[in-house]
Amino acid sequence: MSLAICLLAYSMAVAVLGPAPLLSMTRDGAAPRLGVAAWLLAIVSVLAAWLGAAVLSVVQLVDSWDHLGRVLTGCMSGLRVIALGGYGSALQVGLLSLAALSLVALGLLTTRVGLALRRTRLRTRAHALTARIAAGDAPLGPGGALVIDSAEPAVYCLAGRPRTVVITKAALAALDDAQLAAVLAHEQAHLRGRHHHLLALTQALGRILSGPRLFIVGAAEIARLLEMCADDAAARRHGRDTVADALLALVLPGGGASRAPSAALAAAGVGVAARVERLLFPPDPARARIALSLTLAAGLLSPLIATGLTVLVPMLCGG
Amino acid sequence: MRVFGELETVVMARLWDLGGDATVREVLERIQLDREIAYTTVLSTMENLHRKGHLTREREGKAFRYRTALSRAEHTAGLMREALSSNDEDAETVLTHFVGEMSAADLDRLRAVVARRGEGPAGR
Repeated sequence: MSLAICLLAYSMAVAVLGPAPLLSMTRDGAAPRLGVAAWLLAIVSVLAAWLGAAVLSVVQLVDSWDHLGRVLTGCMSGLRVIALGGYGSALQVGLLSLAALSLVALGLLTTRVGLALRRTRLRTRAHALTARIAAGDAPLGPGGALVIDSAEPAVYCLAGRPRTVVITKAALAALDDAQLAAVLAHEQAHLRGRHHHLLALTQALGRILSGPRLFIVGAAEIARLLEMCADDAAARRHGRDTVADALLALVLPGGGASRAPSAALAAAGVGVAARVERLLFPPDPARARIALSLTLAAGLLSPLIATGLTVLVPMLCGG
Repeated sequence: MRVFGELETVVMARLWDLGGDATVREVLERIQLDREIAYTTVLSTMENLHRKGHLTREREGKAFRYRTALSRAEHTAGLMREALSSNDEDAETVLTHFVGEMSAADLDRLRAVVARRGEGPAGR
């Protein structure tokens, strides 16, 4: 039982205490790809710890039955015996309910995440059709983008088949050729990197597991860091200043003169200022890389070490 | 021009050209000006669009008269609303925007960055 409890304690620690140090390491986007990896590892390790604890409690339960009963082979007979008070001890009832609860919880979580991912896929497909209908007979834009006749400057991409970049006429008008090329490179980086899969998963987890901060904050941070990754991909080909200018051209058409954000841009949001800042004044990635690499190493090794100790120590002690 | 564009797109475009409502036969004749196409192909496309909520229909004699659920402008406005509202319950559509929404604080910070860039040699 001790390893299961260890795993649960570990997952609680990561879920509750993890976000703050991760945030401080990834905030300025000095090493966005490592940042995504670190957040993802934290999320995955919590889920893996839950799964591990559930599996262990079931194993333990079966094991203890074996020791005590030896006649109990199936779950139903086990339940009946416990209900009849035959072999059932308080410990077994506790183990049984813990195992049952954790399995039910994990099953529910998996189902809900699966349903959420399916909904996302269907909605994205529906949105893509709406976009193609809106683009209608208009000729395709640069890079095969759908051109929408809207006064709202917007550029975004849609996963699925076919993968699509959507751009409005207002956005086309706001960007010069170099900036447009940079924007398209940014969107292509999202599509090539399959960022949508990652976003769909982390956002579904964030919505479903809204209790521990890790999942909500992690989803937002991964979204922000993936934008930075795509910015970097665009900057490698078209230059940091061009990408920054493209961002500015879409956000501040007045060239930074005072202007109220448009209705579409006014909602609470993240990231554009930080993205422009790191493009114009790149932070030194060395420190972030070291800190994040150490975090990743620690995150990967500590469960292994803990498992090893729990398994090995009783063996060595003859337990 | 995408003469051989996706059928759902073509049907919607022709319906809007026809003033927003038409029978399958009318849409078929309109599309046949540009390309060869079978009646059943247009029929099933329009039934699909009806199922997906882009068309409404009412019986007219033996056939249906289909109507676009929204005008072309309303359709585009709806698309943009859906695309730009990524922070509410509609968040289930995963769109990666080149520029997402900005808060007032974010906008202030952006202006400060722009000012810093214009300040001098550090501002590359």
